[in-house]
Amino acid sequence: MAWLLSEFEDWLKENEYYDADEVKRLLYWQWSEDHLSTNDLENFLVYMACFAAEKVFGGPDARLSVRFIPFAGEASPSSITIIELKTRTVLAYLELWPANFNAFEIERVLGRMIRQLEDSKKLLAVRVMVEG
Amino acid sequence: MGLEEVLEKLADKPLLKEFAEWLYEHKCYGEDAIEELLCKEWDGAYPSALISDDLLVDIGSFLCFMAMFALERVYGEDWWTAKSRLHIRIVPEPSYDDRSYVYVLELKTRTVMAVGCERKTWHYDPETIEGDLKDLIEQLEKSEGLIAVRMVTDS
Repeated sequence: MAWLLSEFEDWLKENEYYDADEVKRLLYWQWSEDHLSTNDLENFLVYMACFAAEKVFGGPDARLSVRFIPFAGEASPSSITIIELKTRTVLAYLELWPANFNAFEIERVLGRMIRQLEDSKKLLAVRVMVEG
Repeated sequence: MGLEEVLEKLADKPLLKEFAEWLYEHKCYGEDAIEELLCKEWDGAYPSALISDDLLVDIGSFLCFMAMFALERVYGEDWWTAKSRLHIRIVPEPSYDDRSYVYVLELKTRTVMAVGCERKTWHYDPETIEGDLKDLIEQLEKSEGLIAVRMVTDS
């Protein structure tokens, strides 16, 4: 699965969200409680979700209304939620503890996110057809 | 100011009055904070007298309480316990200078039950808060049917 992390690394660099050193620090270092500010953590969670959605769905689909909702928890876990509003579908929901993030954990989360999105792709197709 | 005086101020807004009692019973805020939040127009994105060291947490918590109150009204007080057949999560998306949202999700059927607030909280006032609560309750009432159908069709 190491290919997934390196693909995410390339994607972050291509989109110029971070420079090479920042990407290395984010993806390959062990995170701590204060690794990122709340705002920076939420941005990072959204980038993870956008990368996963792009892998599963390709580019944006004008027929859908997709939202990415990051939440940086303090006492409670953080989460990233991806929803589609026209069909009122939760495409992915993951609770996370970013203080545990390291290369292995980030890749595991990306893998889980992609699996949930793949499942919801089928569900979405059915709901668009059945519920209009 | 005591709770009774706060409730008197909300006499013409029964839903907001009920929400005030709920906030007090659940120890979310004290009487003075409830008065600031529900009886007056906010003097910023959140009442300045109540701002803690994290404004977004303050706004997000208030939005979560609105969603919890609406959920309890529609789905009963066990909506979050093991007795419930649903797996509900509330996700706030507070913002200081943009629109704030609160989402109510049901994870077993992957359903977005409600999207609340959807506005800047700047100068949030009692009428608007009551309107947003009514809207949350209406969405949650509609979600009952949708979830029932999805429980059958998805399985």
